[in-house]
Amino acid sequence: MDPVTVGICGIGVLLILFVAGVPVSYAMAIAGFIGFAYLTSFESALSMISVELFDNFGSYSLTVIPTFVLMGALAFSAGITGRLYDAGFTMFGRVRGGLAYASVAACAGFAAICGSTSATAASMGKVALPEMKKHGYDDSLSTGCIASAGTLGILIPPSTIFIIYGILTEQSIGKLFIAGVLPGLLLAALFCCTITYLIWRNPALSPPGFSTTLRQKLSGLSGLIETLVLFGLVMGGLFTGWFTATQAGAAGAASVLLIALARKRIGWSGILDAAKETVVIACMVLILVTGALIFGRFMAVTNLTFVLADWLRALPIPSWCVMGLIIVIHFIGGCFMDSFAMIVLTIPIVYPVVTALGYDPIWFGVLIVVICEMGVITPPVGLNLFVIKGLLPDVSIEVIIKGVTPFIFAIAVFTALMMLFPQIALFLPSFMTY
Amino acid sequence: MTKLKGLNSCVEKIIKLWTDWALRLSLAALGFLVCVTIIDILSNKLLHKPIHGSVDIIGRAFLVVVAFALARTQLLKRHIAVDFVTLRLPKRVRAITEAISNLFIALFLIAAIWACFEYGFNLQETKESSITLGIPSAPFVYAIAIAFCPIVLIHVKEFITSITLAKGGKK
Repeated sequence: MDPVTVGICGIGVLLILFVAGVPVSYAMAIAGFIGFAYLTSFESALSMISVELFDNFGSYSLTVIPTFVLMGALAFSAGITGRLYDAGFTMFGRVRGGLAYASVAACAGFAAICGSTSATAASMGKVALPEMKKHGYDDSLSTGCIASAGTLGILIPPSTIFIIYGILTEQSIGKLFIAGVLPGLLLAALFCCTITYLIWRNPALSPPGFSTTLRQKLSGLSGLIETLVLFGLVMGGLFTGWFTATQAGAAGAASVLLIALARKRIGWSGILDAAKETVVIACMVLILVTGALIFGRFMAVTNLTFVLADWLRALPIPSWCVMGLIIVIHFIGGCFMDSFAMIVLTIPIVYPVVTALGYDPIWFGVLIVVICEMGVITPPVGLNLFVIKGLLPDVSIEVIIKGVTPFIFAIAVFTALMMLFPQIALFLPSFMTY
Repeated sequence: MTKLKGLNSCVEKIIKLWTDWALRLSLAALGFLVCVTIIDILSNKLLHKPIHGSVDIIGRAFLVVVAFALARTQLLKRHIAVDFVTLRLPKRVRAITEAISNLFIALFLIAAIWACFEYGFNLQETKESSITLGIPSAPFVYAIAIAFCPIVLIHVKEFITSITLAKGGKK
């Protein structure tokens, strides 16, 4: 068999292993190992996996993963969401649907210190859902806006998926983080527009707003200060080149810990829980990345991606059609697969094609992360849907799905805007000098 | 069947002992990693004297964090899997599928352990070490190999459980 055919067979084996329930990381490593051994030799395949394991497990550049995960886990343990929600509540409380806007704003704020979509949805849901229920908000609106706004966690930096994308494509993680800022704010604005439209069409979805005193406003807004300081420290440090990505994460984690200790919001057990969660997530992500890199080695010896890129370039269709196809594949795949898994599976295959077509890798990273994140709020494996369902067991999953549907359209509009105006993602990174 | 169950509970005890011990080591390495990074930032930015070889130290600490968290990650089943197909299969077919999956993973991990030991011997012979501080590489490669051993045991245990289920027994 020629290498390209072996590559296609390898992808087939990989899909069979997926369907058989083998964890994505092991499935990629096994398919990559077997394929590599077939094309080279068993000894060189053994040597390849040992080198990949040692190089990745002990890689300084990958230490960015535990530091940023620890930062998010500590913020989650310290309950920073409550103060952010209070800030949003005092800002938007007066308008109809104010608590829904407050939830989106607070999710955007929490996303600025936590890189996990499910942690954002879970922590905000814990705070906001009981409040919205108490004030008579429709379940579909409250659950839909929080499940959807949770996706901001992965777009607004720091973001774990951007780290993985950066590692797999050898792009600057700092640039990817900065590139996510404007798109994240734009998506948050589009979510707010969606809420406005839904309430305008059906005012019964939310009760009228209620006013807050000046004292409440001032006390609520103080909750924003710590988040702004943290975001300024981490992103400012990265933007100016003052910190490496790992240093930014560690400084962020230490700052969250200091703030939480000063406010007496975290104890020893909270710190321990956050650390335990961090080592597990770091391990899961690293095994996933190592699996993807082993599979990537196999793909490289097959030459399949380059043949695919040449074939697509030779097709008499414009490059945006190819990009459209890539988006559709990722959207469908994202409905069935975790976004992490989707990114590590497709990037080794798709990335050479995208760069060969002349697209900017940073822009593509932002776009593809958003597309995969749509999967978080689409059935059958939409993680955020089940996170919210877990918080509100009396609300049916159908109501939550109905609630997120308008927000999926908002993400579709966002995708179109990103395609038309790549500067949304590329404007801020253009100021970075490293 | 009784022998299999006895073997399973023995394996379970070994795994639990290892996981508890390894988690402590992983958490300590995480704390060390963050502390070294923070001290490095402070001494670099304030005193203009970065820690010599901090990249080596942090990299090696990260290896310990990940390698010794492997067992807990596996026990908590935190690896991402596409399970919406297997969940819809009849119980017995699902058990057979899981048994095959576990066997595949265990075999791959045995190959990985073998490869790591072999690589470790090579590094030990050539006295390979980190660039700045000269920290020997071989012990860390052995650490990866050793950390994978309980994962093989977990998959063997899962394999036995799945086989028991496929034969019509209880989990």
